[in-house]
Amino acid sequence: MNQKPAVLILLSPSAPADLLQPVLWGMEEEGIPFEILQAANGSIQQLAKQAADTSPLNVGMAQGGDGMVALHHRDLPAETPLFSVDSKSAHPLNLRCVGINAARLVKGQPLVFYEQSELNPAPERAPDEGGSLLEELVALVLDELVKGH
Amino acid sequence: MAYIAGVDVGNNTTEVAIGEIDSKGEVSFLSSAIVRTVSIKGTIQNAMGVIDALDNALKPLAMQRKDLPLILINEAAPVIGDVAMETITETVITESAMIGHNPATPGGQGLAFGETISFDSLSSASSTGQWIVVIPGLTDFRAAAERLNEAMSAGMQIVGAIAQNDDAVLIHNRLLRPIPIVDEVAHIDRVPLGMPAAIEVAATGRTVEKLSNPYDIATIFQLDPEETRRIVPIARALMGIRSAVVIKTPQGDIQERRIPAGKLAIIGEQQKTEAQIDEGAEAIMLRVEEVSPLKEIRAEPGTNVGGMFEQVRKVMAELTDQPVHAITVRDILAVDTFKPQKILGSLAGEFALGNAVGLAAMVETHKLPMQRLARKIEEEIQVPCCVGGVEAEMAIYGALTTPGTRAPLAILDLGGGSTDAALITEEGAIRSIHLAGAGEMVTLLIDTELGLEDKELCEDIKRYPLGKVESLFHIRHEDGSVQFFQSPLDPRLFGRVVVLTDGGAKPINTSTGLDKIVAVRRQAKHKVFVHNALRALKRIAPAGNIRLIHFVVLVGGSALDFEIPKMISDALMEYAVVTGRANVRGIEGPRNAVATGLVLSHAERRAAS
Repeated sequence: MNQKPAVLILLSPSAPADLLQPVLWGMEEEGIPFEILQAANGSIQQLAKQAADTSPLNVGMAQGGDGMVALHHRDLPAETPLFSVDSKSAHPLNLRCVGINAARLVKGQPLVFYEQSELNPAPERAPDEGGSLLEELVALVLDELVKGH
Repeated sequence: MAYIAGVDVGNNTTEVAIGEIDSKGEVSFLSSAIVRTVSIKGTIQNAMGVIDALDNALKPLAMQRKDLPLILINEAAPVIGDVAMETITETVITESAMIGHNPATPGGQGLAFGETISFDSLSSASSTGQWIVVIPGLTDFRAAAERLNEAMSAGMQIVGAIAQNDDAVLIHNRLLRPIPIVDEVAHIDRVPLGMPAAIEVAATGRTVEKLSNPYDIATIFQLDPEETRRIVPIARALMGIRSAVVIKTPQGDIQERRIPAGKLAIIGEQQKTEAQIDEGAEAIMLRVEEVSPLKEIRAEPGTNVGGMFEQVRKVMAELTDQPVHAITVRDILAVDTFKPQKILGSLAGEFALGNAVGLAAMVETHKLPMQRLARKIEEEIQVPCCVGGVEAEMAIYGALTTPGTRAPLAILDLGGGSTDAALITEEGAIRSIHLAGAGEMVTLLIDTELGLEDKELCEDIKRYPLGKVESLFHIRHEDGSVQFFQSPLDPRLFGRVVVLTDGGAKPINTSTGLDKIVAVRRQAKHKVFVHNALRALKRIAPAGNIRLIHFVVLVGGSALDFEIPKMISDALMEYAVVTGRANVRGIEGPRNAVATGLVLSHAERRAAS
């Protein structure tokens, strides 16, 4: 049924599809096409797996009536989707990461992880105090000596 | 008939060989063991490791410690090395004048030239100019696209855009007219406004053509020859990337600056000389050769190298209970390298390659307090223990048990801190040497050139082959072979270059490709190990001629490295020397040479007396 090269997204009957928008933008920015289809009721893992199995790109997604989004790959066992995110509570940028990752899974490029990406900058570390620098150096040299060869 | 244990306490491992000497003085080896050395070599804490190794070797023989009449330990020449890096050029851009970075997904394609304008002041812009719009991160891509479309419809010439978020494709897809867009510019607030700018986005799989060519930049910005000369570092920094922005600011200036890196005083036995570190490794090593044999090398205080020299001497002084001034740096190895450096005043974390010189130093003193360790062992386990022989000699005796060897034979021990070599002539005379530069130097070079700033990871890159995780279920090794896995790999490894350590695959979080990392690793090993192997062999060879050494045997841990033995073998091919990894007693491989030599030389001495 689905012959175009695209990531397939299956929606449960009552899925809040508008919440899925950031996921789609993620895929668009990465330049990978997608296709959205309505599906019958089913477990979200099963739906996502079914989407991945059907997609010519081997990557699929599903959104459940409760807003859960799962990202799946054809080679993965049905019960373990690669990522699952709750589209009702997740930050839009986190959802965008799911879309980016769906695309990167197709492209074979390193994935992004919301909690450590620039989209979510971690607090900057305080610069080292001058006093501890010498201690660090000493520890480093000793460490190297112990390691030896 | 007597049992004898030979014990070699090395920097890294403690090795034991247990042999039985019959009435004719013939030795038969019964067992051996290897454990990690406890604490720094030469301290009494080593005793714990020694006892542990002894027990391991005794176990299969069903013997007790008290069954041993004698334990022999090695007399080690204490050698410590350390490494430091001195940067000698850097690129400084005053008044941010360029952005050259590599966002994964820029938008549009082509070259655009216009004046930078902030997104918010678009409404006040004239319709005659050509504009490059600077879009801050707070602007939603839909709003940005809508506003750009309005401006375009109103007849304004919007020719390109620079965005802070990873939105370039999203904006581009919503525009009436395609324009090149560069995104992920972190410090968008530093982009100067109202300045002539050029923006280029190459097609997928291509790299920028115009902005990486000084003459094309000169054409676009109408530069005179002197200005063209000055933008060369920019053009070079933009080579090989997919998207770029160059902005011309009135006061903007780019300099490639030489950093004074201090000098070295090289004191030989007959003469002395000086070398400026920023002259580069070749000049330094030439001077070293000139005044060799070396007595001492001094570095200027206040430089990285000077600090490193002080540190090594201090550690050695503490270890051997000697005053610091009695310890001198005896050898150095300088290696030219590149260091990716954040360009000062950059907009998106751009890097330029600066030149750097890596320096390894080596200190040695006469004797480690091994007597103290022998007494400690004797005290602990009530078995007589004494210092049995000089390490280099013992290693030679052990290495000579490798099938297919005879004198003149040289051993090479490529360690962590120093490269050690020894030679036995046909007459049985033994000569040995320690040179600065070994495994730690290789790690430093890898770390510097890849800009990873993660020593542990670089240590792994040095030791293990690489692979690329191509799917959730397979890794392609650096030699091209493919390995499949039953269960899915960690998604954090997906699409990445990984080091295949004994503890599993570890991701290398860099955009540097696998081939480049392999090349850096091999070059680092070549610059240090191959260079030093030749340097060491020349120093110990009869008449300085490597051809007169017939057999070269690699011993120690690095002989087990997956590519070093081949590199050294390749380099020694032209000297017609038989080169290979030792196989001590035909079973131990490159390990256990010193421990074996201790037992053998003891048997010889007994037979002689």
